[in-house]
Amino acid sequence: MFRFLVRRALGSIVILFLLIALTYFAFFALPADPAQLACSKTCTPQLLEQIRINMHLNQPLYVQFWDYLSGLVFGHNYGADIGQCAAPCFGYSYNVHQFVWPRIASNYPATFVLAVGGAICFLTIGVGLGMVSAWKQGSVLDRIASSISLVGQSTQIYFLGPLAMGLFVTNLNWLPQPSYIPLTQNPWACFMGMILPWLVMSVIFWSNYTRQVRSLMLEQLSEDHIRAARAKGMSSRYVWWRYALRGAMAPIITIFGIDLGAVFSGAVVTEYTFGIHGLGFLAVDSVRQSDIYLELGVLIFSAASIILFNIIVDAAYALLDPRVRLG
Amino acid sequence: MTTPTEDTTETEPVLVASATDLTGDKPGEFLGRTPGQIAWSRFKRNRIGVLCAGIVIFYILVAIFAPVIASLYGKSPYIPYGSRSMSLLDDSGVPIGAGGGISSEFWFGLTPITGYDIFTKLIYGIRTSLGIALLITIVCSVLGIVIGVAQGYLGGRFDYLVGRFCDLLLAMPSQLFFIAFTPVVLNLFVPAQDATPVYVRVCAIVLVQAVLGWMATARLLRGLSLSMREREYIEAAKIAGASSWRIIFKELMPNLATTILVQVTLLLPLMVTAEAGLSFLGVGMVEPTPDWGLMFQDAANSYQNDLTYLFFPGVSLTVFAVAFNLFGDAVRDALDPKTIR
Repeated sequence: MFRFLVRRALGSIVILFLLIALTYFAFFALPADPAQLACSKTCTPQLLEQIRINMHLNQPLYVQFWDYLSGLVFGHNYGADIGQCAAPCFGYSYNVHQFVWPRIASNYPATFVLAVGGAICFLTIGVGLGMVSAWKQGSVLDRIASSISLVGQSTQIYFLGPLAMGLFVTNLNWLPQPSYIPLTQNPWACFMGMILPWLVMSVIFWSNYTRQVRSLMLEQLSEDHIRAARAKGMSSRYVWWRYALRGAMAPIITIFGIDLGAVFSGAVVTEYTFGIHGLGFLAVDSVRQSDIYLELGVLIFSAASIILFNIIVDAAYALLDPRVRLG
Repeated sequence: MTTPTEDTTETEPVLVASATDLTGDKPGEFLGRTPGQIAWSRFKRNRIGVLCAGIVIFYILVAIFAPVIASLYGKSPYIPYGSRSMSLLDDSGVPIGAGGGISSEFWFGLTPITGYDIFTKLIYGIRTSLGIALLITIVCSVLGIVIGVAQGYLGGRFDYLVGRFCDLLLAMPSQLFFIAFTPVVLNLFVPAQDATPVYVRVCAIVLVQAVLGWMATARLLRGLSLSMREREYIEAAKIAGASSWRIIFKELMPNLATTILVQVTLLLPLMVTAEAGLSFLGVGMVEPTPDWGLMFQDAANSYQNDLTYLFFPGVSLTVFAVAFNLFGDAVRDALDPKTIR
């Protein structure tokens, strides 16, 4: 198990390095003047000149890339008027005069809470509906669940979000305006502020689980070992939960891992719709403010979190299935 | 391995003795039906599929004939009627009248503050969204087909390298990549401070989406062509002295056509929503181009006053996506009845 994890971790470091290289060269080699992209809308010629010097644009690209990489690992000194950028140095936002890393770090908790809550919602609702469908196969309940998941799959957060807000916040006054309040500050307010984003975000994810769980459960229930277990006198409930569900879970874990990576890397549309200041919101903001270092930083950080979740999923898989870790 | 004595590669006119088949009108006669005909007869029996195909065709027709419809209706999506006539919007910019100013003159009402006509904006919006989505789908499919088939057919080191590159791109957070990369690509075409023409914006969106859109198709086709490379008819063609070019286009492609068609019908609605999403986030199309994503953005800003504005693009997009998804399922069922859903 340990060797498996080490091997996976080393492999992901290589992938992460390649991703950083790919995005870096795309961002800094393609545009005619990268400094222009780091300079905000209210750009002055002096500031532009300063950015050019700070970026070392007069040096070859690989030197610039090496500077960026060493900044990520060791930090980077920006000279007297900006100062020392501490260890994970993703660069400097010239429009708000802040380093990129503190901005990412301060926005990440919102994304994290959104992702955890949303993941719990879509996993429970999706798997629950799928199991109900499989249990009452062909019934009215099954059809309703299938139709809901079809519509859910086809609907969009930017439609459902404002609709839900208009209904539950403005017209019915059941919920406060969605916002992220730190969990440590007031857990109940945090819950009330996030419940709508969680539910709306989960809609586009759970339809997939419903369909998958339904077909996987039906497939499992027709297997021989299930019939054998029933034949030797196990209760149908025990067989259902311990045999069929367990067998159906392996593919679900794979999808769940991919989706987790997606939500932890910043659910852009959800955050933007509900005005939650997370990673995705930061990404949209960075584009609007024309802040190339922030864009790059958010991208790399998100890619790293996706890769991390892939490792976690692989580890979970290896724990469940010894063939994976030995193969 | 058997040595074929004749060219068995002709798969097109498969002869089916359909005396006992569904048609049954000419018993005993040897009736030829192409796979296309078989699929069509299977598709026709799927009522939901036919209904959804009708809806999809309706959307496409509306998109094509948007200017005609708009001129018959007598409005333009580019004219802010609300700021021209004082009687349409009140002082805070909210349309006067029930349901966001719905009247016999403005069927779907007016947009708040700016006062554009929603009906024409909606039908012109289909044009933008569907057109861009179609372009992206074509580019993605062509890239995916070429790369996937080349990977599967050539194999070896090329396959390995492209496969790893695929993995690398799949590890990329796609939504964030679209958002972050669009301005970089725009900057490639136009200097940062200049106004960007609409067609450049379209090109940038298509390019950015295509970079991360081809992998799924490529993977699927790689696997398929890998398995087909070993089939007898390919070997027969090789022995007969056919060139790689001929084998790929004349032997492999007809057998991959159904998969490609299914993949395209699944990709298109995804791209429509992706394009609308980009515009919604403010990194896609911009005003005054009529676009669904922009309508959502506009409507989301004024949902407190008026939900009807949100309602029109929302329902249109949901109906379109549902119909297209069901249509895609029906196409898959018709072309490939063996797939279990």
